[in-house]
Amino acid sequence: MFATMSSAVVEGVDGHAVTVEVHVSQGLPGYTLVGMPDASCRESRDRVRSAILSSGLRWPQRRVTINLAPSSLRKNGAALDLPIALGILAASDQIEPATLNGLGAIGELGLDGSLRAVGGVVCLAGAIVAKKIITPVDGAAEAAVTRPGAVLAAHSLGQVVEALRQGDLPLVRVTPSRVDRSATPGADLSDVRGQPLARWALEVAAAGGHHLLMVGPPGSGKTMLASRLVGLLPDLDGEQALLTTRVHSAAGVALPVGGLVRRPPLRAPHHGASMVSLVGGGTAALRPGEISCAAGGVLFLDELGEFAPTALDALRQPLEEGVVRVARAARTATLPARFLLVAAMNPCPCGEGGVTGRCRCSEAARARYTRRLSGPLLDRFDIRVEVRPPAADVLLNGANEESTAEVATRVEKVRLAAAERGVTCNAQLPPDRLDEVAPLTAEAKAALRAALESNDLTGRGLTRIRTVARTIADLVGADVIDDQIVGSALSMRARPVSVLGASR
Amino acid sequence: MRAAPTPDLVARAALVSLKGVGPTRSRWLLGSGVPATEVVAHLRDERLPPGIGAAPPGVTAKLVQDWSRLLRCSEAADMLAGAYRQGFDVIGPEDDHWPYAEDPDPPSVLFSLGDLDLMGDSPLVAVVGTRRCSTIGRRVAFGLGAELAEAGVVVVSGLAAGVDAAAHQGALSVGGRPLGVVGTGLDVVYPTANRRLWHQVATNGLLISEAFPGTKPERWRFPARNRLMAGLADIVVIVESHDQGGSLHTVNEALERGCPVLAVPGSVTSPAAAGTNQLLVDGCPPARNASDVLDVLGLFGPPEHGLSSGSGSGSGSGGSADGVSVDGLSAFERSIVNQAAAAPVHLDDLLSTVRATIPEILATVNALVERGTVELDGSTVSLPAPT
Repeated sequence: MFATMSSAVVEGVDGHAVTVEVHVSQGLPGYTLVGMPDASCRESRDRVRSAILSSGLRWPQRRVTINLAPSSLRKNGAALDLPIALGILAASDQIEPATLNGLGAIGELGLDGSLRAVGGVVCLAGAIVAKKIITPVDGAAEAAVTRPGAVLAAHSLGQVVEALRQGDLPLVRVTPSRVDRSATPGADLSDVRGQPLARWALEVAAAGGHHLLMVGPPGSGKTMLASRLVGLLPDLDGEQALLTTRVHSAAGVALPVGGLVRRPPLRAPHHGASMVSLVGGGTAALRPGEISCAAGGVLFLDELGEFAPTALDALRQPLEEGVVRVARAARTATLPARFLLVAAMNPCPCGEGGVTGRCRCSEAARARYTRRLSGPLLDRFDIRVEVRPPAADVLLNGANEESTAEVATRVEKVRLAAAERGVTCNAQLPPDRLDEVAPLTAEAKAALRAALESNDLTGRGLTRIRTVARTIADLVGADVIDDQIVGSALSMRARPVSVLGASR
Repeated sequence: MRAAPTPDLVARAALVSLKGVGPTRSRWLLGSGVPATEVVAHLRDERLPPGIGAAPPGVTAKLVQDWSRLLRCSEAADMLAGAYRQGFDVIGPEDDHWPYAEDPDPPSVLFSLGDLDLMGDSPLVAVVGTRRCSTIGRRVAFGLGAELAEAGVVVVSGLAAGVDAAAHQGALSVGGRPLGVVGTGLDVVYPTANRRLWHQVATNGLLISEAFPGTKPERWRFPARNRLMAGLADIVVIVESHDQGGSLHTVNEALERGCPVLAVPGSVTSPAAAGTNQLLVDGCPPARNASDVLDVLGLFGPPEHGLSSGSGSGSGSGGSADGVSVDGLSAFERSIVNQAAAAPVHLDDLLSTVRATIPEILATVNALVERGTVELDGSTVSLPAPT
């Protein structure tokens, strides 16, 4: 008459445990679903009914009441189909209610009784308190990432019922497979000819996790460079890998074979992206945005000047805090957002602007183009580099340059040094620890003072410069930050005045 | 107190206030010597004045009807009073300040804002060029404007974006008194980005226009404005011009009036200098710096320092490097400064010519920037703009 089953729903990137309670009683045949289900959840009724009938089972011709506890939490998605179906079968004595003890389930049902994958399996499996979890075969590997050894995979409702009756379900064993870097598809840095400065900027950005802005005419290789940055980053560590996997799972991003995201992700949203798609949100369910999907990896904004100003300015707070708090009337969520921001832009709409004098844009068009980039956003780019198309000689005859693997070795060394300081990368060094881990010589201080007094640097800029200096020092193998290192950090931050205007 | 405008001036102003009367039609109306007052009187009665020749194409009976209605329903003197209220002066050929007495194609009347005496005594040099100028072009225009103003020259320009604006900004930066010749009404700032400059020129110098106050920008008004500049200036200097650029129109107008034209040499790779370089090929004397201009003007040039560093590509690398103070520079630093002096140079190019690691070069460039020896614009090293 009564059965319960544990399951979960996902909100943002967090799974929340849900108990599905099913009560089948005397009375007119009917079906009531309570406990704040949303439309997609309410529709489960018809799927569950058809699936039960198609699987050769019986739909109870009695009064069926289903409660999704806790009732304060809004439930969405089709992941509750399977637990509801199993609960109904148990409550109508078609399977033994006791067999559901200690068992959780997630999965969407097809009308033929087949089990379909649902989004956010990683988050869902992590939230379910039961000892064993039944999942669709399609998401089983991902579920096993958070609950290794606890996942039972099935193809259909009929198969689950059969197994429960016999007390035997196939257990998917997922060994988190290490992804070999050499096997990582993606372009190699050795393809980039010439452009020593941009390559160096890429190396510093990767080593220290510093945000990078590239300005240059079309065809100068900005996109090519940016897409190679992610290859320089070391594998994600356990915690970050799990976090990124959860975000990807919740956002419906395809997960790699083995389920766990080990390589830093590269997300490159198109410049038409809305603010919500970037930072997360949405009306039906709080979905993580692109910046959360890029957590632990690279967010590449190509054509920075074409993004909506509101979308860009929404990045400011997450850039600072490493998380984004999305609040809606009904619910709020804190989503991870610690990423390396790489942006590329043309100097002006026609792309030929800057110092060349070839620009065909009117002054007004140029102003309109750069007006979208607010000063505070630009201030957050620690490295600004002007990319120029390499000369024909270099393109045709240039020798192969250093490969991704060679540069990645140096990057990894700097990241290890940062790990000894207790942070993932130097960009995350808190300001109050800089004196301790990045001590300045007197000449270096003088150089910074000059920059501050000439009004080229904000207070935030000063902190950023010091972290970049720390990274450069790590790369060249220096302990103390001298004026040379501060000087190169300052030069790397030089504002492209002819593009963005003079003020900071 | 201003003297009351003469009937002739009132009539001329009334004529240019009419819709569809630009320089060509006002020359037709007034060019054959019929007094303006008579022309107005005839037009008011919907008749073309006798003795001015056949109506040019486009002047229809309907248009004459419109003119007549306009002239009948508004008193020209009242319209002028409106201009006076806004602080504008109005001058005609009878005025002492009138600069177009011998011009083949004079305006019929001039509206002005600022100090009219500016047109009288000091030499006038027009510094003009493309709106789409390069960074170098902007610097050269700024430098020329400053140097010429320091030498006591009145810098004339068109208050357009690009070279025109930079030249006036240069003149203002040393306390000079610029003269702006504009194509719109004096109360219609165009382009609006120049609003501040517009007011600065009016306050410190003089703005003139042949268009009745309130006249909106129209394409054809700017070539017409160029002819006024050419007719006013003693010398025209073209800083940068694209092939077939609008500045070349000013050149033609100047040559028609026997006014010398100088062109600033530019890089052969820069499209913004294609027009000026062609002028040099055609035999136009070069203006490498203010002294070149002052020589033609017959004045003494300022001491040799100064603009040479700003004219960059124009004066060649050797001369430019000498213009920079080189005391205390290491050989390495000097090589960077020399390259930047020849033309703005990207750090990638510096890297390929000097033996040093990237952090070393970056640090050295930063040290030079701190001392003000060079400027770093993104990743491009150049010499600082003259101030």
